[in-house]
Amino acid sequence: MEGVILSVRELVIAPQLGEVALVDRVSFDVLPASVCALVGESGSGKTLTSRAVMGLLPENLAVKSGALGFCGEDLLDFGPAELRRVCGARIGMVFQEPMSSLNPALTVGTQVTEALCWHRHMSPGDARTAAVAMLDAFRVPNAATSLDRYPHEFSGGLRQRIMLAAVMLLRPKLLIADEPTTALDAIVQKDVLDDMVRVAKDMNAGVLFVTHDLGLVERYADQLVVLRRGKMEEAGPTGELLRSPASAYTRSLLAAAPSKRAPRRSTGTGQVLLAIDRLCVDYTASGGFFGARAKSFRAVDQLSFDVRRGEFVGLVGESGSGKSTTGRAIAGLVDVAGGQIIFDGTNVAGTEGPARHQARNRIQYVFQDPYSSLNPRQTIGAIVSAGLAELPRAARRAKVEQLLVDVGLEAAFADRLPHQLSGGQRQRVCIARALAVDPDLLIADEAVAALDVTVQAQVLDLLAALQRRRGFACLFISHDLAVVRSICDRVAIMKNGKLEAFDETGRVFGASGNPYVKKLVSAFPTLSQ
Amino acid sequence: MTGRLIFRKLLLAVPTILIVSVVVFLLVHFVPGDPAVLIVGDANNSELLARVRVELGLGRPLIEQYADWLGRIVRLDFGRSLLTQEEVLPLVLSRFSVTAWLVTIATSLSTLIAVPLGMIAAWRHRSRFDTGIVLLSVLALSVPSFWMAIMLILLFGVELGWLPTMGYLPPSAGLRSLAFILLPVVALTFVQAGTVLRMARSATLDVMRMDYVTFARSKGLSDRRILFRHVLPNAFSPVLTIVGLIFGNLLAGAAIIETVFTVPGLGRLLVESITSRDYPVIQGAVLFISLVYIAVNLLVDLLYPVFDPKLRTKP
Amino acid sequence: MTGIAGRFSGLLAAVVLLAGGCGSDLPDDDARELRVAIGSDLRSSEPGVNRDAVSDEILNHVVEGLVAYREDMTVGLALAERIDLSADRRSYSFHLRPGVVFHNGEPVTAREAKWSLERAFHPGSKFSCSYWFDGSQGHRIVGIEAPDRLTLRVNLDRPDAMFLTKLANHQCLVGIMHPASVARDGSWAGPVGTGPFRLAGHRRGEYVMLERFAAYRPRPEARNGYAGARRALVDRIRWQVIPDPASARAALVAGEVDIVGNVDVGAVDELKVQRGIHVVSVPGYDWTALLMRSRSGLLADRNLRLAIAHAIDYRGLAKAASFGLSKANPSIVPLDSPDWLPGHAAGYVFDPALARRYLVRSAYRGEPLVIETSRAFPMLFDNAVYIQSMLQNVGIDARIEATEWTGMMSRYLAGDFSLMTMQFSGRPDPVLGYRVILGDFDRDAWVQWQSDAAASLLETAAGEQEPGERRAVFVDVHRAMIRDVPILQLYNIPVVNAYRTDLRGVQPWGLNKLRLWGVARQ
Repeated sequence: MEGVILSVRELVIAPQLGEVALVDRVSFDVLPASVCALVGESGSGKTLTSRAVMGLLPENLAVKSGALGFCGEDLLDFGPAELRRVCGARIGMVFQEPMSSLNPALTVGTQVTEALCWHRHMSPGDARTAAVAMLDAFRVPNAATSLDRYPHEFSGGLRQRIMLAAVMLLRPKLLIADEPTTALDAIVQKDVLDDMVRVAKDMNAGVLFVTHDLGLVERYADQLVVLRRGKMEEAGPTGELLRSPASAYTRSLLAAAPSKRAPRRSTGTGQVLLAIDRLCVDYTASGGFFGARAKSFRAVDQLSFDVRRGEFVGLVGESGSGKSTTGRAIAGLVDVAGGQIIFDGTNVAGTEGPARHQARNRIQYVFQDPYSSLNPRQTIGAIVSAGLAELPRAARRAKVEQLLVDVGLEAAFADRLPHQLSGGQRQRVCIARALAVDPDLLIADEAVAALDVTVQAQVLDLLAALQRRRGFACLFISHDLAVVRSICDRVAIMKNGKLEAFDETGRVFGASGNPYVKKLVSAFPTLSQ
Repeated sequence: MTGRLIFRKLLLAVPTILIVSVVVFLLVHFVPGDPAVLIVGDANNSELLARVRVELGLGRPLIEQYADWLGRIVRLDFGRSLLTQEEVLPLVLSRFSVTAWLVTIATSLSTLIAVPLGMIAAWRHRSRFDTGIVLLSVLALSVPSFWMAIMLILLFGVELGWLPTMGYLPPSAGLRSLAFILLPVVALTFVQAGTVLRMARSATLDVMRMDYVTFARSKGLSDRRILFRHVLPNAFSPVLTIVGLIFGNLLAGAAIIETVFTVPGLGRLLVESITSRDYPVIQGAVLFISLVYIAVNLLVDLLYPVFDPKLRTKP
Repeated sequence: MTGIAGRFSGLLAAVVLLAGGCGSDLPDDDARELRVAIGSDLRSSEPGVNRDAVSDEILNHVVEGLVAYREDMTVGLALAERIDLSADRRSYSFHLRPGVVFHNGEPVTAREAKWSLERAFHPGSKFSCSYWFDGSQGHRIVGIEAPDRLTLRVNLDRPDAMFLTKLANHQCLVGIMHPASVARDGSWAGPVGTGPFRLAGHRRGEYVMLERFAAYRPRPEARNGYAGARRALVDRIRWQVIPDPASARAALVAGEVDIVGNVDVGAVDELKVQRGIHVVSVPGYDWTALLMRSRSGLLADRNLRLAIAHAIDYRGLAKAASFGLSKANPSIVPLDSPDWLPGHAAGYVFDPALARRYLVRSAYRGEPLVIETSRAFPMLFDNAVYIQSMLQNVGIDARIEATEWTGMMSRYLAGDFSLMTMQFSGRPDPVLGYRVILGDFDRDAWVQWQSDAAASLLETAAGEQEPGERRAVFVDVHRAMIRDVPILQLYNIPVVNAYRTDLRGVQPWGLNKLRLWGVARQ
């Protein structure tokens, strides 16, 4: 086919020694100056497919059949040496983790120019000049001096730009971007992707964009391929496909997308349960034994907002904004430098004291990572019943089983160990553990961030349903505006430890006068209605 | 920055050394037996025993003995051996110089041999070469050092008669001293190499799994370049840690090797002084070893920035 | 890869060749140098002060006394040419050999001899055995005189047959030394003695070097124990410290040392098959015993002690633990000593049935009995293991606790044990031998046996001059010991020397001490 850059045909990937295909007969094309999105949840095979193009499959996996056409040649026919000539030079790849994708021991300049010197035999001076121009194109400030610095001196967004610059410097025909911005904050994400697509299209390169985020797909992709458990669900032009998806799976994906979810019906009573008044929290960098003055910085600065009984309040901000610290201060996990935390009429600020002790069981915390927040040696029953020590044995068991059923698991889960559960199930266990003591306030700290979108939707539905039944209030800490919008009654937006806005959800997302809030909202990928 | 780091580390070392010296002092005094017992032996003379104890200052309360020792240490007076009346400081220094010479050579050799082998093994992960290296390291780790030493003596000293089986000549004796340290060095190197090999291999494997190595591969670079520019520099700092650790440990005395090969090193001195309860020697040697250990750790800390730019630029 | 390997093996070969050049070429090597393996270093060069077995062995080559032991442990002459005993048997006149000089060239006169004895015996002296001469055990020296240039007279407060025996002792060596041995400030400078070798160098932890003393004039009679002629036939003796016994044997086989004096009995067979090595053994005076804390507690019960005594197969134990080199000896008097009469053969019969009967009669009710032992000496540990199984065989719950040597010695001296396998260095005279165990429980913690009858018998033996009468007394003491069951004597430790076959004149004797005069390389 004329003009097609990458043509994947009936690709099958399976373990070297196994038959079960992890990628099963996947076919799609990437065209010049266009973005083809490969979408799916974890385990869908989207990353494997993209790695197979570069010959970067893990040792124990192999391409069993199919074709990988690249500009008229089949990459599968290439030996290692030929593949090396193509990789980097004509196909470039950027990875998800900006923190680990650049070599910490080499300067940025070395890493940006090395492929150029290698493939084009360019002199270091010329390569440097070209690198500066490309870094400028990706809007890396002070491009020339940046070359002599090390990766750790740059933020995540800048590292991702540097990685993109290093790849695009060779003007590849095809750019493979594997979740390139998932680890970045919304505003940064948008800027980086805007630049990536702009530069790629300027060079007439095709982009294979691997992602789980349908919002991003709608914004950037021309073509869309939906994968599920290694199989293609459907493919086609993005607009059409999203408007009228043929496959039920695609429809469920769309429905699960937070921006598509119906807002939760509010049950707030108007009575204030938690009032945060000019809260300040300092972080002290440990200076060691005889260390010079320990450095501290203010993580939360004069923060004030409140949570009413039965209400969901979203606490939103980019990484480093102090939102998690606020949650931890309310839960009594960190010390407070100033201000008050009035819980049910009593100031509970601090980690000690009788008031804090009283409040301890009435405020429960659900953590982000369902993998590390459960003790791997305890059964689910023991984990959930930890706060129920005063109950008699039989009653405790009955309550645990009821809780497990309430969070959508089965009573039999009580005897299992955490590693036997999936991520979503574990997060349900965490919620059950938190609800076991009938708290008045639940602090959910990025509680659904690590989950796949359909699982995320289920857990959010569960939270909403449980809230209706039990009437607790929830402080919902998240960086994901779409999720917050779908579940919260009011939203507090933080930046650099300070409150930027605090208002009803509709008003914040509708017409906030705050420029930062505006920028944040516009940067967030949402599926158009 | 470096000056302050050194100063801080040394300051930190003071309580460490104090605690170590107290613990050692208590331990050796609570174990039954004292040097007077050895001096009197089976002469079975209670009066003599009592007199010798008084002469050696052993009868006094422990706190008084310790305070006395500490007071002298502050003035850099390490005291004299209870049994041989030798001054402790020159004794420890001369024994340490022997150990240091041996161990420095062995550590350099094992690093030079084991680090490249381990890294190549990791690079050719699951190849025959890799399997061989893994087997070799398991062998080196599981063979007891004294057995290794005796085998070396029997083979090269007794059977072949190429090398002396015992004795020691200082490096000032020139090339001939090499013959005496060759076998101990080989034994020490072999024992160390197992650990270093394993560490070098696993550190390299870890680095090879990093995203930046995959990124480097995706750039189509040659294996050589990926190995030498991207993998090795990053794999070296964990290896440096373990080499530093082993080096420090061995400087504290390779007692078994020193005993079997009859090398008058610090480890043998410590063992002999412990069996004879020669308290000033034990205390002096332990104090010195603590200092050496801290110095080696400091050296390793100062070397880290060479491999890790993150540490280089921090204020 | 092959290139590198090739280059490396080349380098290795070069190093080995270079080393090979030195392997047979020890520093200062010379056909006229003897190299002896010793297990520990010379502790101090002051004889009889802060001493141990190795120090005794070396210093007996450097320093001589007035008298010395012969092979049969009778007292022979060393620096004294003749001894006159006064009629009241309290005054000894030692006539010194004329023409003998110290290592510094000064002639040996009564003045230096008097100085040496006074230094050893003055009150507060650090001399380990001063208690032998100050009235604590037997006689007291009341005067040391030098009536003329070559006569030294020593006066005692009462007659004592033991005086010369003690004066000849090789451990508490009363060496005749020149006052230059002591520095001006009174500290020890180094021995200026009269021996056939003089101390020429000492590298701590490495070796002690002795050099032939050219001006030495040997006695006319033949070498006999520590007495008789001491002819230095080599120029130097290097005492090489080799703490590990296996390394010492390897060095011997490799030809890097010429003699190993104190060979483990367990290693004899292994050495015998080596070419170029002679292994010789003779019965020794050192002995091993099972100590029982009889003064109080469980083992104060004589029936229990008898049960233990009859449970042990002494013959089998001696044979097994000494690898067939030694025989059981129930007596403190060494089997090889002229003092050993058939009466000393009386011991305890190995009879488990009898042992069990004694056990029933005793107050023992299955309590665990711990045998203290030490791995420092393989024989001690082996003894403990054999005895443990023999005691278990008759129904005693015997356990083993192995401590290191210093710890065990301190428990021994403090009497802090119930059973203990122990070894004692050979005593040349039975009186000295019995005094290792006999004493007053209340006075000394180390005492194994308290018996007024035995003590008074020994008193008479100490004062008795006639050998035949003394020997009869020792048999009586032995019978008393067997009756009281305070301690179980097991066997004498054989003396094993291994040396290169090019040596002549190596001859082990009852005391486990090398004598390297009269030894030459062929």
